Amino acid sequence: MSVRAIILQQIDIVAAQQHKILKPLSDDLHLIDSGLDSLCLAILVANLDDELGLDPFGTGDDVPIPVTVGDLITLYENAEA
Amino acid sequence: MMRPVAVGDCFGWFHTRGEQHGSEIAVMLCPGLTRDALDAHQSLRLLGNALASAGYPTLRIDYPDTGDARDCPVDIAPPVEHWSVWLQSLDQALDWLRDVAGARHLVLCGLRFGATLAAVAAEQRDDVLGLALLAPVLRGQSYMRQLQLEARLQHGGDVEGLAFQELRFSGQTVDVISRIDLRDVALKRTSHVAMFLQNPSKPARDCVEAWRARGVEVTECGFAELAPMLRHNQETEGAPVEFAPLLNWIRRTIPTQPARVPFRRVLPAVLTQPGWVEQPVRFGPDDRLFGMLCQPEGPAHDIAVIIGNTGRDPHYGYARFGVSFARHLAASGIASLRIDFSGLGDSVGVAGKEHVLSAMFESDRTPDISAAIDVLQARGYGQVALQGLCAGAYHALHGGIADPRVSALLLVNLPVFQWHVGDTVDFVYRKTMTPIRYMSKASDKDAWQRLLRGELDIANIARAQRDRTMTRIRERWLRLAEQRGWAGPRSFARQTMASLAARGVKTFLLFSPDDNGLDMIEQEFGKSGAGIRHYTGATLRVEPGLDHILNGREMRHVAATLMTKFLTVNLGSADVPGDLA
Repeated sequence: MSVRAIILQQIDIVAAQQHKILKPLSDDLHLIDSGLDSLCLAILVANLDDELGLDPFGTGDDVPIPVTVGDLITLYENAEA
Repeated sequence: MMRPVAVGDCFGWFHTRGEQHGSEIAVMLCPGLTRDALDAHQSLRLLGNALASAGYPTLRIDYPDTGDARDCPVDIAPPVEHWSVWLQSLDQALDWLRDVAGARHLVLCGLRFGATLAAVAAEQRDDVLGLALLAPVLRGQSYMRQLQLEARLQHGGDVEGLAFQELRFSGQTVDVISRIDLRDVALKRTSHVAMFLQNPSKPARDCVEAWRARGVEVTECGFAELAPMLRHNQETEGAPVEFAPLLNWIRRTIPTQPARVPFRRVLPAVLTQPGWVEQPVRFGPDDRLFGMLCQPEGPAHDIAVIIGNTGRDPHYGYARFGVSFARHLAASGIASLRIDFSGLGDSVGVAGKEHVLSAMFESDRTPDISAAIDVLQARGYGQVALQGLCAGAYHALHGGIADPRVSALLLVNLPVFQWHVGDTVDFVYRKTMTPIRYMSKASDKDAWQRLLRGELDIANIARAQRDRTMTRIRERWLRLAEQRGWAGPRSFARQTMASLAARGVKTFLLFSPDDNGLDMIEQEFGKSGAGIRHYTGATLRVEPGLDHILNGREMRHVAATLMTKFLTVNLGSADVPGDLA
């Protein structure tokens, strides 16, 4: 599975676990509008670390919090590259 | 039957079914951290009871620096390394459990991070036959990242290590936990493991495979029946957790029988540290209610504060504020009783709803508060204050209205004076929020865009704002009439404040600057709540730097300091009248 597909799958899983209703996901959808809250986002990052072995927030730089779903995917795709 | 116990630096509960003899197998329940621990507290109590009923004496503990346990030293060099402290305390508690229960073998059942601790503790012992891991944290690194990110999103916390809710981890603690990986834990071949997985992730699959390769019997189970343990349901009654899959696994895999030796006597739990002494108290009808009495170690005032639940979190509170406030008060010579209302935390629910998490606002807490006042008066405390945060402040207010023995109220971010059946928190806030605050909120976080795209519930907002406008006009005229002496107080809020003032109750209303409850105060008491000053003994304070739930450690310290000062100024005598403890 691609990084994108895994991220989208994990968003679905976290939303279901936390009983959040997700908006249809698209690259320009703001994460804050997606139905996920800050706890969901934190769990998502932990799950993606487990699934992808990628931790873009742990690079030591002050990585900005992604604003949109597209930003989040790009962050992980760049971390993989 | 459950008895409070102190084991080393841990506070805990020992569940048995009241029999004379111990059991060959005993169970240790290991809670998670922060929100996981808060949400699952009542469920773990019920699980402890269920295991005990099935013949497995069960101990559940709070690790040092969590729940009601002792505090780890702060500001020492090198700083405390929590992972090792917790592992050591768990090991000590396991020895205690074996000894008291007369058990030959143990089963460890852990939730989230508690499962991680349980697995590593099991690796180091020869007497652990079984492990039940509920939604385990499999990799310390991803868990640390989750908490660090939550801390950053909550208050931009950019400190070395981790400062999140009650946790204050040194850089070394974060490093040690980040290296923990359950795939590397070498369990004994004789171990039986049940993995209740929320998410069959890659590390979970790897972990199961790695342990099976070592000869460990691993049963994979779903988490659906246990999911309500981790549900953060804010308002309504909670759904009970179905423990049958877990109980069936343990009965089938690790059956027990009575031990040859009787239970050893359990000493009453008393915890002490410089400045305070704590002891658990059962009270109320059939001793169904629980509280932790915290008394000053030295000279004491004759004041005691009842600290109620915030929302539906257990008595130790979100970010452990109930504990830190109680110990802060004790250092100033003031006792406290932090309680669980009926159906929350360690207090049993009302008849017929013993297994249900009670509703946040719609439950009547006044009988519980009066029963707690009975406890304090019986111990010689002449002046009783009630404290609460958010929904806890609402219940404290109503406890103060109902019981004439209350001398003071400490209300932090009071959301409403009155709650009507069927109200929701969201509706009440929209109803009381001023248009300016509403718009300023709406400009946050792109909510304007949502409004324009029609993604906000316009009908509900409009209805709430219309109600608010009508109420505001009516209240303005009523206030004017009351000030001119044409009428007595008409609104519930003003009647309440007048009644409390007439009784001589000292009321401290503390708000964070952006709190929604301030709109309700303005609606009832005029701009900036200026009308509050007409009520003798009442003080309104809006403190910069606080937020609604007191997320930051400094916020909690400021709130505790302000409330303590209010009490000592308004109720305390210059000379502390000797030790009541």
